[in-house]
Amino acid sequence: MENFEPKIIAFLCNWCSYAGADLAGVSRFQYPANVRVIRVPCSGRVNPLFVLKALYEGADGVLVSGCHPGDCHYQSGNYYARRRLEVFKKLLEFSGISPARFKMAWISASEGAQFAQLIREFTEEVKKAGPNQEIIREKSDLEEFLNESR
Amino acid sequence: MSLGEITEELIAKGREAFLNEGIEVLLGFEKSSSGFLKPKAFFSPDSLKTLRWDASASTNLAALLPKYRGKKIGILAPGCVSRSLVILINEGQIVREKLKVIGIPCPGVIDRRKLGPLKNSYFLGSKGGKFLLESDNQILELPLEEYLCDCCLSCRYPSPVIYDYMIQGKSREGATDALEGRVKKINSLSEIERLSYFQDQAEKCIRCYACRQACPMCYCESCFVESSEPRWLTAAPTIPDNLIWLLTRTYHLAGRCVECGACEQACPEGVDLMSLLAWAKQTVSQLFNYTPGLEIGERPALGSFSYDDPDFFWGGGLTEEKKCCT
Repeated sequence: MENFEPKIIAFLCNWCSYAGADLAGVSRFQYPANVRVIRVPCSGRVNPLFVLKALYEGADGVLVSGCHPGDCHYQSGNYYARRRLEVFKKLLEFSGISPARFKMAWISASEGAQFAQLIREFTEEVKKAGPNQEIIREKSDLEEFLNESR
Repeated sequence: MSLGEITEELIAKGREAFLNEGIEVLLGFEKSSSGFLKPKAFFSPDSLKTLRWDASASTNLAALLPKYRGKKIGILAPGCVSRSLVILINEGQIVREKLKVIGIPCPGVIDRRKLGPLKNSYFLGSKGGKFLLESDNQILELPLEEYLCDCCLSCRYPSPVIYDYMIQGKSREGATDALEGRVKKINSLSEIERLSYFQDQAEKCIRCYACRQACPMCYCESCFVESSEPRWLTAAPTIPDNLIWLLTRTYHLAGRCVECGACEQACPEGVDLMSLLAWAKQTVSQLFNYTPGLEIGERPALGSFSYDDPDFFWGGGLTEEKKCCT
């Protein structure tokens, strides 16, 4: 538990947050290496099933990030995302899945420092919540065996 | 109002719809072998003799509409069914002009599960605030109010919101907080208790998808659970798989569910589906001040947005100056 390193999946929108993450790298801001980035065309593209599927397949935390309201490349994609993910986040909370596992954020292409800060905060939160045991897929005996022998 | 009158009136209105309005099919109910009503499609005015409606009509008939897409359809509609129809119209699934709605002021329908040991007895009919059961050659008269399903107990729209014909009668008054109470009870639990409550529900679920088949809003021709590319779920009904099904179903119905309770009545395992759906309805109405199925022409809550929606995103609420001058 002491040295638990969470796996975090981040869905970043192509136009703002992905560029923001890139800027964080180019500017050499330090942030934990727990995050795996998946680029999506827009935060409005993120189906809540992506989040459930990520948790189901073994992620400990999921981040969705897009352009600030008003900045969407497709005019309104992030406004739709805001409504939908809001309801979805509250649904996760209601069903007893730790709210620390799912985070939504606005990161613009110029916010490299903020991106690094966000990842630091989120990783800390997920670490506190511990390994995902709420909705993870049950592994078959064969999978367990292969994992152990690896 | 006695039972005979509404049957006669129903059949008369049904005939009228066939002869004057030219409907091709009428969706209604007839008696099943257990006495409880089962849905039935009537194709001619002469077949209407068996058309019935009483307090055992727990199926939402709007769920049958996709089957008869393109036809001119007549349908019996108490409040919840008429609201389902409004949503289907708003979502472009049916056309108002091709629909003849026979509105029923609804006194509520019974929850067969609440009958307990009597649930397998023969349902004779309902009359006023009572209904009759035949069990072991005995006729029992039971009060409707005690056996109504939770959805009917907390129903705020028992009268149809759209209709072409209206059956005479009085709909149920005095909605209680039966459903809200269930949500409140779960909300009062701790996070771990809530999780274990829903895991228990997921454990009961056998993923037969009876809830999906009973729901008028689940009209998709292909559902995510059967998709093989991407494959969201395995076919095995394990707890995490079932939990994903229950949660995603709830999310897909958020802002669309009219709380007719047909899914819960259809569930063979008694999974607590309505708590999730009632929670979704409350949340959508609190966040976006939206109640589904009341007005034709409305956009669905999660298919629209407003610039001043609540914003709980990290980094939200930044002012314009802060945003542009980094």
